[in-house]
Amino acid sequence: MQNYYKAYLREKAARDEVELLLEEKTSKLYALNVELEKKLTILQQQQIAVVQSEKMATLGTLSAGVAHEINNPLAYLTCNLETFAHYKDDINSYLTLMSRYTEGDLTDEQLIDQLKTLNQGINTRELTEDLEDIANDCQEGCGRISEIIKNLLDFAKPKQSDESIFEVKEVIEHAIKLLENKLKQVHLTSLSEEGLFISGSKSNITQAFINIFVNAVQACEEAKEKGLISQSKITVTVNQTESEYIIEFCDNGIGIPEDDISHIFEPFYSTKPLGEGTGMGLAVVYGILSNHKGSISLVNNIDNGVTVQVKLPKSKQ
Amino acid sequence: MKGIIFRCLEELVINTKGMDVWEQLLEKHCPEDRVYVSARSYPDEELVGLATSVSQALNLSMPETLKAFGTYLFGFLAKRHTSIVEEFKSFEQLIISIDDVIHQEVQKLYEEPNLPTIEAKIYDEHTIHLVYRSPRKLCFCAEGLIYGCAEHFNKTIKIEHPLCMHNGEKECLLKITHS
Repeated sequence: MQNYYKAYLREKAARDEVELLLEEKTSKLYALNVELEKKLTILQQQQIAVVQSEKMATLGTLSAGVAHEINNPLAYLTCNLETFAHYKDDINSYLTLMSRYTEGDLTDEQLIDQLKTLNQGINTRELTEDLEDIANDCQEGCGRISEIIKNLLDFAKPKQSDESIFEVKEVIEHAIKLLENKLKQVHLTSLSEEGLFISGSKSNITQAFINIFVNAVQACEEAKEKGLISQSKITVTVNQTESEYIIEFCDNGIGIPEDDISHIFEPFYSTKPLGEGTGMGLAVVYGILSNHKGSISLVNNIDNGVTVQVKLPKSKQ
Repeated sequence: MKGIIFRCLEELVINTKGMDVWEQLLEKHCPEDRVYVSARSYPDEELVGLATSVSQALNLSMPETLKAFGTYLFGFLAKRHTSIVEEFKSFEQLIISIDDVIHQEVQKLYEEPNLPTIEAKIYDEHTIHLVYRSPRKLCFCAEGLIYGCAEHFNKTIKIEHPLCMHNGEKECLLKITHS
């Protein structure tokens, strides 16, 4: 019995030692995990900063187009306000007359006389019709400007989190709207059904699609300059499998040299001339899509141009 | 409940009552071939069953048994984790650091240890008020641990337990008076 007890004690000591070793390793693993989590947080913050700076760079690209989009309504707003300023004196004369009459400064006869005099110089029918048009046009112009600014802010304003569920079509249209000016010379076909929902950061997915569109437009412009095509074409299609949406951006641009394709998603890798492009465009797209558990791939088309394929998981809700 | 607690009970029973008693307890309350490993979790009912039988064998009440076990448990844990206990220079310092330091260290070692919440505050020079909250209601074991800690620091203490979860309170209040 004593031998059994000794054997038990020896086994127990062995178990204790193994457990201590396990605790030591667990403790080290815990410390490493804490360190890893800290680094992951820093990495996520840096990723947010890169996406934000990419947005700012995109804003630079968009600014000329945006200025043009704002200038149009601004032009007729200015014109209408000038007309309104011109009508202001006439309206004032009528109002002053009515005010004097209600205060008892004028008799009925005097009012009618002075109204007749005023009417000789002013076409009141035209004035009232014009005023309505001016008000409608001004409202419409302000509405357009405010829509453009809202779109820009939705896209550019840094957000802590704008996680939501939204439609694929909605983000494609938002990107197209922001790039309206750049896409004017492009024959764009967007084939997306309604009711295809994904979840994540809407502004970041918009950013990803803008970057893909900008690359496609630039590739088309280059092909046009070289006389390879006469009309730029971009087609966006959305298909689905059981678990994901497959969004394809197909252009008829210059294409990408096969050797560059494997590097295209690397940060600071650019096929554009020095000083043009940040080299972060597709790297940012890759980062955004990875964060959404999606993926991106790119192939040269058989005839011409490139097809960028984006896969994004369907929203679970 | 984590295996380390069962391992402590195993050591206590074998040292005081022998291997046969421990085997009988295991046969009575645990599945066949049960082996306790410190890092794994085991059903609370096994500990309650074992502790109930121990209290009957020792002819002690359950609170007294849990207190005795808690006192032994402190020495058992202190022996295994000397570096943690050595961080504290006094009894008071250790008691008021249970949640912030001791439990943090336990979290590093064991996955989901389901620790109680302990709030300890120095009431005056000789008194510490400690609030204990846990769905397991092992406040008597906590009392024992505090006695074990006092023994470690060669302190004489007295614990009053004016509020207790076993009497329907939401939490237990332990008033610790030390010399």
